[in-house]
Amino acid sequence: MKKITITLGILSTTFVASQVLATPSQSNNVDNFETIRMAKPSNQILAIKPATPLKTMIAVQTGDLSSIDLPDGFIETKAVHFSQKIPPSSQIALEPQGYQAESDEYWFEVTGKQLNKGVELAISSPGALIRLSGKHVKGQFAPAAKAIDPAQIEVSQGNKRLSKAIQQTVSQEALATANIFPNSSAIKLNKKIGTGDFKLKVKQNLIADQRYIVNVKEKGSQHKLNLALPKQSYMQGESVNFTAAISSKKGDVANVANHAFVKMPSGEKQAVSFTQVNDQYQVDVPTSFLTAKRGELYELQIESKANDNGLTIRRNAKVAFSLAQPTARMQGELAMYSTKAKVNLDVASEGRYEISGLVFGTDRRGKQVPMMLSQSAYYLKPGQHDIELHFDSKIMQNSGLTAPYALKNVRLKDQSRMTIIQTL
Amino acid sequence: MIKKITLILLSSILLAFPAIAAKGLAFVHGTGNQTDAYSDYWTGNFVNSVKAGLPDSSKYTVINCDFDQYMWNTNASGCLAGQLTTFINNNNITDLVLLTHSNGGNVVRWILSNPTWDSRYPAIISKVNKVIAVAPSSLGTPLADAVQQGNFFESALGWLLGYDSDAVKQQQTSWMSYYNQSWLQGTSGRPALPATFKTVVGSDVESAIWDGDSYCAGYHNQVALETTQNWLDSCSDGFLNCSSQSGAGSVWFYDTQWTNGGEPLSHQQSRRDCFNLDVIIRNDI
Repeated sequence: MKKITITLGILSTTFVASQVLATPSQSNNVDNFETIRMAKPSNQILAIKPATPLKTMIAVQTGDLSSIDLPDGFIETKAVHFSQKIPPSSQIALEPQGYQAESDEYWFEVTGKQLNKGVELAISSPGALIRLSGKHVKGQFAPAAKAIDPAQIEVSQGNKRLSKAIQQTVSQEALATANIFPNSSAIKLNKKIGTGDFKLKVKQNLIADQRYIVNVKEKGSQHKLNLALPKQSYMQGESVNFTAAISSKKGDVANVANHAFVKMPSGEKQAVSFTQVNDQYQVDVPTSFLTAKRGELYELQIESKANDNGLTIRRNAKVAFSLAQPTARMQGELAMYSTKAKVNLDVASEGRYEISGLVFGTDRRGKQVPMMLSQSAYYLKPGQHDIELHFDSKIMQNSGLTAPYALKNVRLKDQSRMTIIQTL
Repeated sequence: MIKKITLILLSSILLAFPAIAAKGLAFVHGTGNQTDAYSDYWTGNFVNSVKAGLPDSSKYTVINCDFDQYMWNTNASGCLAGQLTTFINNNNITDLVLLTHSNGGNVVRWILSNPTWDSRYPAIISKVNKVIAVAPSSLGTPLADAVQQGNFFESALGWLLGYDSDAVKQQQTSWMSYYNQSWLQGTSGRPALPATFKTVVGSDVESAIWDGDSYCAGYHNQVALETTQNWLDSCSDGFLNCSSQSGAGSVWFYDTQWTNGGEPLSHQQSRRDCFNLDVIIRNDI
């Protein structure tokens, strides 16, 4: 009888805000196993020589599971298993990659009445493009008929109208030929008027309560808002961390006023408060936001304003993220066999669940490299279920790789609601 | 004696190849709800030229689905799976080539990346030999972000062949980043797709009024192009940055490398028989 020692590393999980430290080591007495030590244990939950299952405890997760209705739409009910070969040279990121948005523009919403009266514009880069788009409520307006004639736009500074402020006008008809902005018109400011605070006024009589988007695009501006999220997949109750800073060639601009909003999948936008934690900001996303259609995302939107040596800088940026409810979770032991892995699922919400994992093998140099991605999905009722992740033994045999094998990046997805609910 | 040897040889061949491979080609359109993509999206000239590269040019299909929906929607990938399954079964296809344009590449990647989502998917994936993805919006486009700047339930603007649609939301850059990281394969840091996904990248748009080449597949207003270019990189096809078009799979070629006269392909031109594109693809089928 040989002794087996498995060293488990930090298991990242999307269920709780912080990483959970699994049992640091575990000893079992199992026949036919050799001692295996993992060089880089992060995200690696099992490493075995095949033929005999090896069982590993899954880090205990707290919190109630959510029992929610099935969303509308087709949901497969047959069990499906699929494995594909993964080239050993693949560079697969096992940690969340996050996202960084870089913005050289801002936008705001006004009414026709406000445009007729004049709206303030902060121009921080000579030659800015200003796009005006009439919003439409479905079934009520034909937006093209509400388009603004760019020849009817005036630009002034202080009380003085600038006669040569506009270098180029783009009509709704012309812009529509590009197929992307059929209901917009635009003007490009003359670089000679420089930067500063201006007023834009539309002489054309507009419907007082008709709403418009004013979009100021300053391509090539040295002032950019960088908005970054360390990951884009969150669980209900988990805080969303972000960084936001306006940078210029001289570095970050000081004293930036940021306003944060969360845009729901429905399109509704709500102001949210945020706190600073070390060098990051933190937003608590209200649980009342959980009204998403299947697969639709939320957005963190930041509206920033700063003063850089007397120049007003305005920027908007947005980054999408998903918010999942814990409809099921893997628990207890995860056992890896030569042809499959087994785990118990605690299911609170009826639906279709997929477990997936990357199988690694050992090459001639003794290095662990990926060989196979395996996925198995089941339609499950609420309750306890022992499910299997099927491997393809042909792929394993043909890989040229040998034991010890390892299963990494184990993911549990709720396909019914299109969310990632657990990652080991 | 000769007859006997011939029979033995034939038997050997048949034993070695129990089922003769049947190659098929499917044209998968981009964003939009298509009912006659043959005429409205691709045009007959393009389809007929490309399908001539098949051993049996009758074994092709032109997909018509609602790609204004999210790629996972039943009317998008579900519809595509249904039409591909019917095509494969009716024609005994064993070697399937998918020719996609724009967002069609994302819908195909959805099927290839989520084999357990739908019990029809594994059989389709097993038949796919390669995907030729022309100008795929793999990393989304900043223009989709621009048209989604509205605050509320209204959408301000529109989209090529698909106005105010979920497909436009999906193709915003940070949205595609999430889908690529969580639900799709083939981008940097993610597992490769289970089939070859080779892309054709459109790198520029020409709209000189005196240049006849500018008129292939319709003329672009120069001022309008200059306006949209404010949201795009210097390398783009007028809708998608080259980085997005090359963001999944591997680049087969950039337009100017292989097209007649080294002409660039705008986003509209890359689904038409412009500058020999149809022949280049035909020869690769």
